[in-house]
Amino acid sequence: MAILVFLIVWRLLAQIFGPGILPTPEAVIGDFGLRLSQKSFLGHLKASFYRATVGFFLGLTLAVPLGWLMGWRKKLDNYLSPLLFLTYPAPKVLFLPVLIVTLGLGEAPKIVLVAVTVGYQVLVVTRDSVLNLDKSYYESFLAMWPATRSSGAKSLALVQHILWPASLPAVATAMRLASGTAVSVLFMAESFATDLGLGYFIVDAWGNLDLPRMFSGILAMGLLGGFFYLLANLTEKTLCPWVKAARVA
Amino acid sequence: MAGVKVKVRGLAKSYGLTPIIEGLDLDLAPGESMALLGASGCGKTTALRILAGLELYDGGEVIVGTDKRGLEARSLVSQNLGLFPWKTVLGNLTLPLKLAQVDPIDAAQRVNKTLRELGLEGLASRYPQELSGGQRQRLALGRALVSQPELLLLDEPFSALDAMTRETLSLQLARLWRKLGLTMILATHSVEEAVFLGRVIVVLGGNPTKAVAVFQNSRTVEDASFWATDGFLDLVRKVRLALMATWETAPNRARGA
Repeated sequence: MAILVFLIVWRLLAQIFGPGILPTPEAVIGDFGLRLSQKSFLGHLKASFYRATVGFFLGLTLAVPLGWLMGWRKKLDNYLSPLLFLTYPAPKVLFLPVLIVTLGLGEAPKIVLVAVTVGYQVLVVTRDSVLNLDKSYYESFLAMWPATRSSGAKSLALVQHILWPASLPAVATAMRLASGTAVSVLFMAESFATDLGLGYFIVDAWGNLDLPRMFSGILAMGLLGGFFYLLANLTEKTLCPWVKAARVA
Repeated sequence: MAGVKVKVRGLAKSYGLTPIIEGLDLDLAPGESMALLGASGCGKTTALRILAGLELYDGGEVIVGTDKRGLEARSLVSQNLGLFPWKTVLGNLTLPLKLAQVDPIDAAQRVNKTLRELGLEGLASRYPQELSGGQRQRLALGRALVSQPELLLLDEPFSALDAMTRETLSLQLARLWRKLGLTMILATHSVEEAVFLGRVIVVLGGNPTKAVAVFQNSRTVEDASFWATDGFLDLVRKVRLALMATWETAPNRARGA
């Protein structure tokens, strides 16, 4: 229903502004359908999808364990928190020139930029979810732990049975939040010093005032963000069935 | 499952510069039950946590059985239960056994027995947040019992429940305690609950806290009719009077209720 309202509003605005400023939804969808059969557009789409996916999962893989450790080990949190405090508010896209200088013009700076953007958001949320974990969960776990077993096994069991499941809903929320920002920074990263990717495709179409093509690129980028958003929803639905149970109860 | 003796001598505990407990003595024979009664903030929870091995103490002596087994031989049901919302009823009950590396077949039998004993059959696949207050309480009790503890510690076990559920669960707990033969200590605000569940009733008072009155409860049958006997009502009256006498010295502390 919301999508239908959005399309109607878009159609009305297109009527008001005219096709020279805002193409109609049917023109954009038609153009997008046409582009999907073009090898060059699929190449841009594939490049962006690859960068976003690798960056997204790289950020997630690094941030989640570090978030657990920071939430769990006060010393590590005290050590790293000042750095986090100073760098977290800075827009991550500011790191792009530094990354290009240090990593070159290839895939690496774009992937790392997405990873850093996703990583920061997931790190902070994961750490906070562990920090704010009800003390009684730790105590219940500690009270169950047999004195005869090693402390190494205890740490692993704590992650497996407490930290991992307790932080998962927060990680899924962070993934949802990061899905939009990851695509935004990817657009910035692909806007210059490259001729491949949806960011380049959009800027190039914009420069040529080819509005249906530009909107096709925007639509593709939106769908890319939507893919990660759906992935976060799927993660929560599959790995956190108790969240749904809590909502129903 | 067999109970252990509990002996506490001159227990002292402070939070910062504030002494909470000083000179607390407790004695409990194996397989007996004790109820700790006292005003809010008097240190009942702190005493239970010390007995559970979850908190260090500053002075005195705490002896729980022979301590051949580790802390897993003592089970504490805390006020907020500490059930894991991400684990089902079955998952919550199985976890202590999994951590103790109990043989899976033995573990399954113990879990099924616990589900039966506590009337939780048919709820095994539910999450704690899908249960009623009474069912959650029974699950917490089941999780404490499944590891076959020698000492069961209960902190305000039924405080969040309505009066009827409290009485039903008190009766169920009394029967389980008798059947399993384990040592049980509970902290409560309810005089009736203390007299119903405790064979020894200790009134805590003073500032810092110590035992100010000890009552022996000679009942032998854990039966619902006990609630209405003259012996029960007489003991409730005596314990209540002893408790009221502690009000003037009751501490007004924010933690360690």
